[in-house]
Amino acid sequence: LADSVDNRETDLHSAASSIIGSETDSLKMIEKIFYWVQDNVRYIAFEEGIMGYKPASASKVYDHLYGDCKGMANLTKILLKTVGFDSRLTWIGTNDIPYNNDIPSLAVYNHMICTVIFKGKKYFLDPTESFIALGDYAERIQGRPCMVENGKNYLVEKVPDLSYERNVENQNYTVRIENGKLLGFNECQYMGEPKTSFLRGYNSTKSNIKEHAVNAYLVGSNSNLIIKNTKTSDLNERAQPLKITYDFELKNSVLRSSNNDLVIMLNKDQDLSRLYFDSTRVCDYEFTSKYNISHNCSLKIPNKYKVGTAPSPLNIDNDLFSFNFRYEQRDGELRLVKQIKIKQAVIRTSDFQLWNKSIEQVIKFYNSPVILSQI
Amino acid sequence: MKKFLLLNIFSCIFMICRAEVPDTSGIPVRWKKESLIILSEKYRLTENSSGIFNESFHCIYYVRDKFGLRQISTLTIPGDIKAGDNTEIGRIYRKDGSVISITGKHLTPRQIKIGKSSSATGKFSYESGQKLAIPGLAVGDILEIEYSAERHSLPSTVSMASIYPTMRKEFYASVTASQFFTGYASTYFEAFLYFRPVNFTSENISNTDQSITVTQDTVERIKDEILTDDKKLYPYLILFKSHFDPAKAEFVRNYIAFSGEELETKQLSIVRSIYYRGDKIQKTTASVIWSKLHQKHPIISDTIAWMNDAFYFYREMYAPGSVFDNVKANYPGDKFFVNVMSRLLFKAKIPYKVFLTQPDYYGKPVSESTVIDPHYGIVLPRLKYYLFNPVVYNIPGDVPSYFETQGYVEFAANKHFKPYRFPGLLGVLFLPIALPVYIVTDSKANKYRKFGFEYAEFPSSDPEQNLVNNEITLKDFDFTKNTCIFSIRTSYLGKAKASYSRRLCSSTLCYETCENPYRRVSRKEDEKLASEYLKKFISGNISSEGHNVCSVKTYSLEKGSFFSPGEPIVVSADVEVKDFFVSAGKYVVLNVGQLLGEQLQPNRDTVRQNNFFIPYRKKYAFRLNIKLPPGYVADDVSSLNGKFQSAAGKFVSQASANGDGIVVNTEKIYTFQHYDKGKASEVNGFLALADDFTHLKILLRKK
Repeated sequence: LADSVDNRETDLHSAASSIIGSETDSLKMIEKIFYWVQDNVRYIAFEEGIMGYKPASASKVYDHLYGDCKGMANLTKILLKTVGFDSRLTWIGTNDIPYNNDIPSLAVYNHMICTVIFKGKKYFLDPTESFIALGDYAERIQGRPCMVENGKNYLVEKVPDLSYERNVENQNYTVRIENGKLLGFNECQYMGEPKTSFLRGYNSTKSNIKEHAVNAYLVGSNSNLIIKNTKTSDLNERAQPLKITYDFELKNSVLRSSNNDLVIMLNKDQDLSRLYFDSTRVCDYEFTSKYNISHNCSLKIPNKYKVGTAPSPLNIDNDLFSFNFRYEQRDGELRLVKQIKIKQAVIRTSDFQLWNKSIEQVIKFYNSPVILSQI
Repeated sequence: MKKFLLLNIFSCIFMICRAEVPDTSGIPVRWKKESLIILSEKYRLTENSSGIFNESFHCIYYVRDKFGLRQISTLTIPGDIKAGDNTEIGRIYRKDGSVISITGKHLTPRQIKIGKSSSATGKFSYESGQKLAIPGLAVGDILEIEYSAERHSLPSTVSMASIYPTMRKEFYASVTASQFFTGYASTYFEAFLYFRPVNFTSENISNTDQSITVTQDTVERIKDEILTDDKKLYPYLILFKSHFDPAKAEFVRNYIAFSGEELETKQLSIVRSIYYRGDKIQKTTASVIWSKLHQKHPIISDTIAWMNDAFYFYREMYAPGSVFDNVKANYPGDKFFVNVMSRLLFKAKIPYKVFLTQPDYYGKPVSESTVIDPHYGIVLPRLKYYLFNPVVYNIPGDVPSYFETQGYVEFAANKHFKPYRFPGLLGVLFLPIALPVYIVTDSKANKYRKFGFEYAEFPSSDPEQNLVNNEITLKDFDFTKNTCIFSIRTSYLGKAKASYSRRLCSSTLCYETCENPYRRVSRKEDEKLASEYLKKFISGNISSEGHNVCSVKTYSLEKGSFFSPGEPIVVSADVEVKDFFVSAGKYVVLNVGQLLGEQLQPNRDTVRQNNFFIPYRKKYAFRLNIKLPPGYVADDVSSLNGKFQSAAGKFVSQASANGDGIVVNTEKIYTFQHYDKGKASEVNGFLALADDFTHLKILLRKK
């Protein structure tokens, strides 16, 4: 079917050259074409009849600036091919499909991407995933088997599984107590799914409310959190981490006792605390992606105070997830270190009890205050 | 099937004659961050003498960012457009000056055929809208789309999806009375209008960079046909016109002109028909109620008592109780009740008026001929605003919340309702009545209208009358399980009572608890289900306030008499809750504010764009009793005190330590129904203080 498509490759050579410009580095050339298709071709699928399997002509997709996954993969392939790369169409079944290509059926594949073989390495390009970098793979195709065209035959391959470590969400914030308030400055860094998800959301938001939307995203459901002076790194940059900084105030987080002890609620975010499975749930739970969250909070201990009580460390670690929370005292600072890793994107019903028990401990840690006593 | 075959038999595409690039120079500076701007949108629906409807659409979009691009990437146009591959449907004016023609070949493949074709199962044959993916569209482009189609029936809805700022908009519809009443929707014709407030604020109207205009012919038509000279002509006038078959000229001639002033971004429904079905049921109902009334009141000595009983009997027959009941009763609504009641009143020779009213949250009508989302009711002039409406759980005579306002009330003219001859009752012959049932008010109608308007001031209730009174006790702290007992007693009065009743009944027992709502259940099972449902409902209400309910210990509902204004609905429950407190060393941090439940959060960051509106004035009172765990004392209870009061309302909290406990009294009062956006701080002030209160904590210290 793919062979019968008239791609008018010669017409697209000049387009590919124009996209690449003066770039000479091969990987950068691949990146430029991959990103151009992501940015400029809209995903619109009308899969009538044979068009459910046959890609649209690359030149047609280029002219229309829209196409389905096959059309976009085919355009990517042809643009790369016209400038000399070994690019190939690739059938893949996303994680929506609960089986793999062991089953001899057309139904094992529901998606098409483009594979580039460069210096013996295979790069799987999915141009329908906007804002994803070369070599990075969306959760839905990670670890999934695929079929790469190979002349009259095919290659059976597998997209790399990038593990939870890819999805970085780091927050480093410093806080101080001023006039009974907790004030702070936060530096956030995102990679993987949190980053692509943020960039997609940002670019899908109306221009006139973008700033408001970013703040709303950062505040989340914490109505005690007030943020200002938000700054972001380049929101069109794919390969580098997304960085966001802001100043914040955490309201209702400091209580002073009648004997001048300070009781402080330092947890700014209570990630996953609402995820609790009751007996009515009969299906497994699937996260949108794996998580790798790390928070480091430094509280400057006020003069004439010492740490009276701090919550005990929490360390839960198993094959599915881990919660490692602890307080450390160092150089006049109290540090809160929180690390959450969701290693598997699916929690089976058989693991709900384990999850619920863990979350109870997590909530207890979140809610437990630190007490600073006067020296 | 035949009807479907006739749908959209013929459609055609207009050729676009425009050659010049649409002008974008007049776009106001304040729209610089808008994602998509509609430079012009025109929709026209006319019915010709053969009963064919011509629908034409012409729109010019200006794509400003990727969001806008995504929104306009695909369009849906009427099904079975028979455009040839070379028929032009639209154009893209590119930033670089080039023009891309959009033709029939860009329509989606016609995988779903209409007419002879059917669905895969062969069960259905249906029309489908045609998707059009816009080719080559990019940010900065201008897209022009135009088509017209002929159809054999009215579209059920006409969407004017203008959630984007619009430079110029026209809407024109002209249909005959027969279609108006018996068209696609059978009972009424609706036009759904979506507006964006920025287009319709009075600020824009007076703005010198007047960016939205109506065409001159529209203005002339409005002047001639719609508005009298003393009416202000807004530039954003949307015109809906339905004129009627000359043969039925005396029936109804109907106009709606609408300015959209001070609208929220929400769906508005213009409904313009008093026609309704269920005439037979109505007659039967009236006869049955009359019979029961006649037994109880052989002579009508107390009009109010008579009417209350009429209302009561009606509700006995038609009070929504379950899905089954509603279906059985043909979903009787306000129109149905009005007809039944008017028959009874007319027969009893009690003067009355039937009216429509425009809920105040739509703002005042721009002209007297405008009514949006009307509600039906009956008013008894001599008793001054003694209102009936059975579907909102209001006590008869009480003003339903959506009437509670100053506003325009349209009194229905006789021609809207069919003259009615009251049937004989139990074999007794009543005199034939040649007069129409409905009484026409002193009409101010001009020559174009057959009904009149009066400006009415329905009495608005005092906040104290719509009281939600909560008594909450927190006790029995268990430090091992981190739980305590949350004991609540809430009473609802006035419109709060009506609102609670509605919520209680809207999720019907069967729907909530039975797999099959139509399954017959025994009385015993029914009682058990009712009990379970009530427990679930009460527990759900407590949970919805943000409380972590572990178990329900006790619960009860005291309904009292629905018809007694002074009797509240009282809900009581003892539940075990979690996470209200956390212990740390010698301290316990108690989330006192959380006891208040979730509060309305004002938007503190943005400037208020629209005036405020709430359905009715109301008061929430809380008395929080916290019985401290033994050996503990509370620190700094006064930090819970706060007060904000303005003309809009107030929030006040007063706390005191009381031996082994704490008592906190709070009051939140909405004294306004409408409030000017320019005084937003007066509303936000007390709302914010109440919201802030919910985050307050206090320390309990070991003695």
